[in-house]
Amino acid sequence: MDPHALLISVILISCVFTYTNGFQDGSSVAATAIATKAIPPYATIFIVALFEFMGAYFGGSAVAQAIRSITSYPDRASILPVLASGLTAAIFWNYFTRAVKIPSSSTHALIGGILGAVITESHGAQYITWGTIDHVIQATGLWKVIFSLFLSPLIGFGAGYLLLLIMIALLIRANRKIEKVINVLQLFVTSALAFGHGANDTQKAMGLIVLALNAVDPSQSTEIPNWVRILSGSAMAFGVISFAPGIVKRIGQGIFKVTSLHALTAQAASAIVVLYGSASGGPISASQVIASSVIGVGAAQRGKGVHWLVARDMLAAWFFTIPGAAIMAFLIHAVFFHWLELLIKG
Amino acid sequence: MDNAKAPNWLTKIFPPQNNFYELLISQSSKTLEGVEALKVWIDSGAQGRCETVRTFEHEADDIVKDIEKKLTDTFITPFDREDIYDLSRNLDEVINGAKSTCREIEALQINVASDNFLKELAATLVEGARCLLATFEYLERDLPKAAEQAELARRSENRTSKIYRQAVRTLFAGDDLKLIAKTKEIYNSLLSIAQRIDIVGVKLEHVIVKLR
Repeated sequence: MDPHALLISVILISCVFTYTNGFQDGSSVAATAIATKAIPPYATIFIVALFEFMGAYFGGSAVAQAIRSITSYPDRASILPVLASGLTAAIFWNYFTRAVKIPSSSTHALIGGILGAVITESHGAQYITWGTIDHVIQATGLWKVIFSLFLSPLIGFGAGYLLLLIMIALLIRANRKIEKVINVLQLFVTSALAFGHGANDTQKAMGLIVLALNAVDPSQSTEIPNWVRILSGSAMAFGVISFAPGIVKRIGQGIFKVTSLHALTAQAASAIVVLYGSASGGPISASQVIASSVIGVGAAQRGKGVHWLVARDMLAAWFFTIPGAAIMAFLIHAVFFHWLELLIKG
Repeated sequence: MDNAKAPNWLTKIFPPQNNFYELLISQSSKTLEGVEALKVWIDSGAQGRCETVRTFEHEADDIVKDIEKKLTDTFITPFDREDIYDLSRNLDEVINGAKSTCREIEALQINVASDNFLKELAATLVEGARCLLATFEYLERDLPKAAEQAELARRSENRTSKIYRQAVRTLFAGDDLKLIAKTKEIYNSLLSIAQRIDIVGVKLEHVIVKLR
């Protein structure tokens, strides 16, 4: 089989993954602004989609490098079935968990899928780059990804909590006219969050596309080509436009009754974490960061008013998603892509 | 729509411009003064026009207007804007009830001096209004005590109902139908004040549950 056919498959599967990511996380990004009616829903979706695309295009490549750095699998055609298995496993895991109502996270699923596929293909963990812990903040390899994924929701919670108290202290004597200013600010903060999310989440798939391109043509630069950015950015934007009202309801009103100040604060806390993650190359789960920021804001407002089951779901997603997606990648690779690999070799 | 609320510990460090706890306390205090004035007037035989209750009712009205204006202007309140509004409105109904009772007694021209039930009913209303004031005073600093006082305020309605039933039974033992009709009107009027106190008590319990 021509490796180019498999390369095209990997690119298409990456786009599907990015689309589903946009569908789920884009709705989370837009959720609080829509729930508080600060911005009309269609305008919010349009703004989020636009800035997600811009994030993909202008958001650098630090996260893509981090994703690439979790495996030292050689740049050869046999990585293509591995990537295809990992990505397909992540997509299937997301749909499977949604169908059986198990909490999940696209980013965790992608990492799990890739790890599972690499281990299956190489019959061991020799191509997994663990990297160094290095005081957490300067970790490398898989450790960097793990720290980033697991610490970002906690930081989102803390940022949401603190930021709300600061905002209340600043606005305690404010007139209600400030509400209009807050609604306008939500527009900017939502755009910033969408940009950060677009940069962070599209780069995960873009990093894998570049790996695939290098496998087929080792002379290819390791930089992300513009056409890959446009393709991934468009897939993300289409995902956002597809919109999931259920997620908007869950994030916007399901955790606690969010007001315009809560929404602005949660969005700002999430944007800080997501933009920092994108700039420093830390892959994060935006949906978890946004949900945890909303929980942080809710806890600062009134802890007993928060539906803590959302936090429990997040914890469950932490522990089940990576192993679950890895097992799924193993199955997909063994049943389907392994045979494609034999075709390539043959 | 819901609004952001300032936690009590934060308002101690950063005091708000409009202290709604103090405003509600002053309205509740004015309500208590009005109900006490009604009791004093009834105890003294309800002679002439009852000016004191009217004065307190007007002063309470000014506080209600002030609360409403400040609620409209203030972005961050200590608890839900709607709850503050409801408390103030329901509390206003208590002193309005006291004024209506005065008007009815004046209009019906009945001799209240010999009716001990009327005095007893008025005294129970004062107890209820006093418990409401205590609840508002504890609301910011001690929620369990506030809950206790709200419960006591609500119990005053039960006592009022009990006295009311005894009073009606005794009233209907008489033969003067004109007097029975007139006095029954006043009993009903006093009972309705107790019911309004109960409504404020329920609303306070609702707020306490949310604040806990």
